[in-house]
Amino acid sequence: MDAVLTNLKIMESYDVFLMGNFVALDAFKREFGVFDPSQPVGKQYIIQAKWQSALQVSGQLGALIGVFIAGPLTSRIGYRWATMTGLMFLNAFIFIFYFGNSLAVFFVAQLLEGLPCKYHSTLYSAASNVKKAVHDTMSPPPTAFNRCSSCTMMRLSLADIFSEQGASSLPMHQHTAVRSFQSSSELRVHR
Amino acid sequence: MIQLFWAVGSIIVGGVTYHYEQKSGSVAYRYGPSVTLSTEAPN
Repeated sequence: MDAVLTNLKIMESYDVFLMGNFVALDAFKREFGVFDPSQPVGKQYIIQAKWQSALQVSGQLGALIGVFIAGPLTSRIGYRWATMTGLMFLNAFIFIFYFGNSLAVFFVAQLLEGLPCKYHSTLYSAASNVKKAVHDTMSPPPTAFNRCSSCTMMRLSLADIFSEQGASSLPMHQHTAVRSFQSSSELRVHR
Repeated sequence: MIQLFWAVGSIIVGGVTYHYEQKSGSVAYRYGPSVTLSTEAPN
């Protein structure tokens, strides 16, 4: 499952950098740019600066909204279903992006893609933090491998997102650590 | 790790866009029928 989620990160990056490459593409500029006679011949179609910056920030803007949805949604339906719903919505929004035929549609599509996209990043860090809190509280003194925090976070968090039992399967004292973490970050605790 | 996979993704998208850059028409940025567009001024 780790491998699946790392592929998700790769394609998220693909999505983020795709539009930046498009605005430099000749065919794209000819289709969606405006004609500027003051430019050298052959480069007379340009994407306006307002659209270039709009398309660059739209994903980030969606992300800004997405991170606020991530917490409440995860508290309500859990990591497993939150991740899966996000992915399904991402599919739908990428369809909008693909079939879009104007810069405004690309803008809106990227804004919508930003929601589940950054939402997954948040989920990632949240899951890592909960597991790390449990790990720090409960585990014996760290070995050399455990001391590398990114190794620890990846190893502990990713498989757990998709585990059937979730936090309820933890022993009581570990469960308490999870609860105290969640309430300390003002999340609604369901279990 | 996350930064590593982000870097991998950006390299892939750069390579793919560079490959399709030479094509003319909408096939350069979207898979579909290639349409030849002129670089002349619009009428």
